[in-house]
Amino acid sequence: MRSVIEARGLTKRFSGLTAVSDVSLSCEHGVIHAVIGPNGAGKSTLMNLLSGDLKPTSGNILIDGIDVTGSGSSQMSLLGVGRSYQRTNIYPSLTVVENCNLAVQSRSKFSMRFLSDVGSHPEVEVDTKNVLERVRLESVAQKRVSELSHGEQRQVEIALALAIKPKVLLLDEPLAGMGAEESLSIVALLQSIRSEFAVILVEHDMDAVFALADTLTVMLNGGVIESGLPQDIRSSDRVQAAYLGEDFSD
Amino acid sequence: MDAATFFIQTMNGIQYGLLLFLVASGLTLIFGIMGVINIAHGSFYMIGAYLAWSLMGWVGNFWIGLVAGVMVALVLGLLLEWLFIRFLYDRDHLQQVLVTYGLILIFSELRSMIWGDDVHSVPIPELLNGSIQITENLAYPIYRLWLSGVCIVIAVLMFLGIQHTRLGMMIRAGESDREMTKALGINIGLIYRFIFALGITLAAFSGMISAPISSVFPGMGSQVLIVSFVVVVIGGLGSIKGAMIAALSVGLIDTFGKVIHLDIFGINIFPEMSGMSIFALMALILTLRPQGLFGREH
Amino acid sequence: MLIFLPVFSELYYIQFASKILIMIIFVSSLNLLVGFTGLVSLGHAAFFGSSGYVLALLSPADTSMNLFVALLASMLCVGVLGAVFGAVVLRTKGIFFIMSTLALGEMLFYFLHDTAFAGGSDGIYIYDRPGFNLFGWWQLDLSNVSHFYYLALILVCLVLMLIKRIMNSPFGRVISGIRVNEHRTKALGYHTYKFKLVCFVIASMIAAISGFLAAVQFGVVNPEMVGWHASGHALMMVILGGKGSLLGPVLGTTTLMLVEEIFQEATKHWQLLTGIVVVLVALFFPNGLVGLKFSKKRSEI
Repeated sequence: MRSVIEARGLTKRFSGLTAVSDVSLSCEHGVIHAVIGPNGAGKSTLMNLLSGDLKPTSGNILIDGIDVTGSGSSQMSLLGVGRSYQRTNIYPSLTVVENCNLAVQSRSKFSMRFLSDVGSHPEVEVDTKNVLERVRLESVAQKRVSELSHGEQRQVEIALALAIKPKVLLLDEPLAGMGAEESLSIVALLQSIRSEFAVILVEHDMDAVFALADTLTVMLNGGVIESGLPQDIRSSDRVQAAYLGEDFSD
Repeated sequence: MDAATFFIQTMNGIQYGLLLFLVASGLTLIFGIMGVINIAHGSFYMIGAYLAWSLMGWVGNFWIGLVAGVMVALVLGLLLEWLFIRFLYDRDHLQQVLVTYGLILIFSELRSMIWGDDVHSVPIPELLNGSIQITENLAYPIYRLWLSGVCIVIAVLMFLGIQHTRLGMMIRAGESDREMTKALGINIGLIYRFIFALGITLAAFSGMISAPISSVFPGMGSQVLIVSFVVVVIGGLGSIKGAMIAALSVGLIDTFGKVIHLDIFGINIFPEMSGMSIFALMALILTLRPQGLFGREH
Repeated sequence: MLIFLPVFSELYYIQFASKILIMIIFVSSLNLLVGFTGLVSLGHAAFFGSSGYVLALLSPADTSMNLFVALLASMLCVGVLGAVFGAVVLRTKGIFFIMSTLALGEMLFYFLHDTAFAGGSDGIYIYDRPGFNLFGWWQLDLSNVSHFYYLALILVCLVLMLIKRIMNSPFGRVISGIRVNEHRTKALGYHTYKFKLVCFVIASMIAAISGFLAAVQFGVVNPEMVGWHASGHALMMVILGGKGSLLGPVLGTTTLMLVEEIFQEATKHWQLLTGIVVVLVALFFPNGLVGLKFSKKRSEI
């Protein structure tokens, strides 16, 4: 099957420091491709490159086989790349519904209309309602995001990514700072929607990674050290030595 | 324009640029470390000039007046930080702008109450009075040379400080990070108070040393504030090198704009529109490089 | 009560009330940028003042212009200026935005001040105010204080309705998103620069309405009208009233103008008192009068 998103030899340097070095990976529709590695391995930078928040120093990004290297984050979003951020990046002073409306409306053609009433575009609210049902946030829909628990805020983060109806979902540590129970519900949520997207997942919670991932890429010091099926990665000596062994020991 | 005029105008432009650098670097210092935009910065330049005028007139000696003026400015800075500025660190830019705008109004009226609204001049100190004869019919005032020299010394000290200290690293990073400063294990409140006082003292000092070559007048504060903003925007935030190059360019353009004569399509550009020229340069730079000449992308 | 003001009030107070109404329009337009979009501009007076200049330059020497033609022309010209200025300054963010708006505003100031093109530092007098004749049986005469007052009052209402409408539109939704979190708004697929530019142009055109009225009221325009102190003054009113609320500019403008009027009666150095008020408000009541009044039930838009 053809990949929905593909990275070819992505490299990002910040004034001398190479954060991401020659990384290639791809992801197909209905597949969860997890990227793991110790802190500082360059995973978040990779996500920022894929979402257009950063521009690569070299290498290419392809969506549906078309080279879109150099597109900014708004352009990438319109090309169908939805993302969640590691550090919750939502609208704290707006309500959950308002957060979601903003995301849904980004797919419409009437965002520039400054004289029409939001009430005359009810389809936005309908889509918002659907998204909130999916991520199980209906009960807090009218609350301001800043009043929500950390776990709920993480769900809003995912809701915003889903609300733009993406082809590709980039999830940057969706379980960060979550309790065991909350983690399980997010994993369940991802299981229920996995068939609809190509998902690239960065996550530290190994139980979740091995429960969800179809493919794994392991990064260390900006580069890829291993890539393959979960069972192969688990048994790889190199990965054990570089990352897993060390991480499990503490 | 003959060679002699050209030489003198170039020197004047550089000297004006160096002075602008001094004012602008105080602004950058306060923003770079504390994250506070201080639009009252120009007021301290004005206060410095008036202090020079009254203190030097009072004690009758330029040098004692200068030292006393610096002391007053430092104390004023410490006091203001304690009274107002320390409440602004975690506030948004809008509040910072308004508090410091309020300070502009307060200082402007206090100046009017204490010193009146008249234009004054400050005599050049005895020691530096006179000119250096460069060629037979070309002389340059010693005071202006001394002024440029002082600015260069301070600039070099600042450059070394910024390259080689951790506080300097923060300025170069172009953003204030209280957590990081805390991590340095220093008394952050005291450091900030000192930095603020230092920043405005730079402005006041610039006002003092420029007083003998330009008149002392009420509107001098906002004039220099606006030009320093232009310098910071052109140079790029957090870049001392950028500020220096921008300040020198602005100084030269402003100086030459007033003396050359240029018509385009019968419309007089210089000197009539020379007041606009530095803003036009800024607009041009912003169009080409929104982050300024040496600023990083933001 | 506002409607009947001209019936019972002295001439001076009607004129003063008109001045307040004009400022309410200007401050509301600035609030659209500062309060609703999160763009702190220190150069907004450029649009206020240049609107008056457009009127002054367009006005024929011997006859009076049609009010609506003149107003529309001013708004359009200022809108173009807003688009040009906005295109430049919106490339910057945060403190850079503040500094470059101030600098561009000053550029206009120096242009008007130093060149003979528009009367230099003295400005231009407008001898024949624009008027409007309704099919020959009613004449709107703007040199009549009451007529002018009613025109200003109507325009204030229209502007407030327009801003309310904008904030309840899909566009307003995006604008709020930009204010709260521009980074995420971009990541959702909005080209935020375009939205900010449109907002900037709208705000400059609303400011043009107020500048037009001010020029008509005083019968003169001068470079001070575009100067940055005029921008700072309006910014004080935005925060005094409460940024990001429709009523804020109304409360803030009225309060500050009344307070300044009292200060001016009391002392020659009234700016000192204004300065103290601004510092205290900005430090201790950053949500302004609106925040004070509705602090319990207020919800951020």
